[in-house]
Amino acid sequence: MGLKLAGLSKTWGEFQLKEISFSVESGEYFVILGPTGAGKTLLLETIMGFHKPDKGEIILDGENITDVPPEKRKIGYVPQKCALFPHMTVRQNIEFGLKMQGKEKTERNKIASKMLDLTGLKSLESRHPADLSGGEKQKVALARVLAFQPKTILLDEPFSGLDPETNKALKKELRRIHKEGKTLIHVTHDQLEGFSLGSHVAIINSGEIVQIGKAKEVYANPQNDFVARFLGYENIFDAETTLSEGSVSVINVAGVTLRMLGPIHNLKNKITVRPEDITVIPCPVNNAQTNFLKGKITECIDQGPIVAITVDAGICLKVIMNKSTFLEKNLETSQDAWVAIKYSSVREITPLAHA
Amino acid sequence: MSWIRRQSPFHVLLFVLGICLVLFLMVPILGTLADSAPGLLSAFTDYRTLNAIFLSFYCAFLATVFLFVLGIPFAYLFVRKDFPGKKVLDSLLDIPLLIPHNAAGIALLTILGTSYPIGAAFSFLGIRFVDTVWGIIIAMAFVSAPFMVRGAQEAFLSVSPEMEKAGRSLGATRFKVFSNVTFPLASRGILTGCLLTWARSVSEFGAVVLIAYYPKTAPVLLYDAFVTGGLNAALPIEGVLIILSIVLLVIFRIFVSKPIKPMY
Repeated sequence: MGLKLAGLSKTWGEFQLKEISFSVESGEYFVILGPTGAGKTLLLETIMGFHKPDKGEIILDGENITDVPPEKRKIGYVPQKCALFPHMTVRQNIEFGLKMQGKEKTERNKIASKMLDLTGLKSLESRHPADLSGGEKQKVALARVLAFQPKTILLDEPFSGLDPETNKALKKELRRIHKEGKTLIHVTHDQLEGFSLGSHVAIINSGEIVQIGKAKEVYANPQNDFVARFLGYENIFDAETTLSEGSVSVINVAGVTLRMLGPIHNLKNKITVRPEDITVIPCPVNNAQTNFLKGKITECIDQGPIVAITVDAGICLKVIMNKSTFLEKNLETSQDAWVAIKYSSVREITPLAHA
Repeated sequence: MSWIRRQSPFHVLLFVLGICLVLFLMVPILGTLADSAPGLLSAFTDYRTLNAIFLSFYCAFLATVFLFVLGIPFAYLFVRKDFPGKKVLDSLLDIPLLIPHNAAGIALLTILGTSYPIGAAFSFLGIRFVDTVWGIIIAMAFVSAPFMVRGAQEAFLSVSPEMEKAGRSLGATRFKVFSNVTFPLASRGILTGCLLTWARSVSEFGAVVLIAYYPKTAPVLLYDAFVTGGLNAALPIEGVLIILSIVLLVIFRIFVSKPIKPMY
């Protein structure tokens, strides 16, 4: 049970969703992650029934809903900018779906009151959307959908334009909704948002799902250059295996020798290291299973709580360091330094066929 | 004066140009009202004048209703759907604005005259257009149609399709979304379009005079009075027409400015 897409294709102008297939189990928090223009909203709207797919099927709880009109799908949908009805009060917005379902006024009132209490919107019930903050609007949009009592809810970039505090509160709210057993399908371009909420993640690019799986697995094992870069793996290099020493592979990256755990799948392949998995130290220490490379700091960019450092160690390595650590180590541009990379932090970008 | 000193030269220039425009529009109207003042009282009690003005307002209202029924769905279709020939059709909509209105009257005569097939068919059903109220309504509707359709298009464009999608996801059919979300949100713009359509219809002369010289609408009566009795005969009628039009416009404007409530 849950939602299943089978070979879903849709052409929209010059853009195309290509053979999208995945299953979302009932009660799962599924995140579709991709850059702007990847087709996330088109996919969500096709699932919702606003666009008829050229090919493929949409199965919801065992029922083929490909040709069912949106109003009969019983899927909750929170559009990108909430799309609250500006001519209605908060309460009227929440009651809208119930009214459309033909529920009696007393029942509508009861459900709306429950939703207002649950989302902490009681004091705002007679306000119009124009008088609400961004976070309040998102809460009303969620309450409006929840009042409608769908099993599956689609969320289109629900955090866009929210300040960090509101962002945190909304995350809490979404976790609460998820715990109630709802299936959530959430599209976003923000990997932090996606991985902090999703149990399963699909990465979409140019209308194609390029990787899918459990959030932790996708994060740890990007299967191609695009996914690696999108997930923040800035250090991506062509590598060649020169030797296998038991569980450790010795690889050559542009003349620099690195060691990594496990046999790699191809003799020639790409490897990657996350910038936060590299440490910059004044001299090598006795630490097993760690690569030490000598280099020179070529750039330090202050990014508030973190500092982005570039070290030329035969290969150009991007490093991210806490501001406090950076200040403690007294690092600066043109300074000689060592970088330490654990064997386990060097990851092969495994092509899909080997996954 | 201190307010002007606080403004930038650019805004002062805009302000001066705006004042010029207001004077350009208001001086002839106020001048006419002043000139018509001596005969206003008798014109207000002259049944021919009042009949003609009532006929103009009434026919303009019916022309507006006619265009509302045909124009609103068409404008919505234009805004929300792409279809072959849309751009051509869009251009055709402006034709009534481009052609001289007496040419529009002649065009309508050649279609709706009883000696032409369509006019003959309507005549068979008991509806005649030449020198009847029907002819006045059709002539008014023809020349005013772009005001209704363009006004409604602008109004519908201001409603985000996202709201309609949200409405449908909450279980509303297309029709219910239209009646509960789209229309209420666009209604102010649509009312403004109706108001412009009505106002344009009231003032129509060229097309109306060719298809229906009788019964006389206010502009036709005004023309008739001017041709037969000169300026002195026309001025009081014009004064009454201007005063009543201003009163109605103000009432409509107040009505349009009220907040729109949801339909349910």
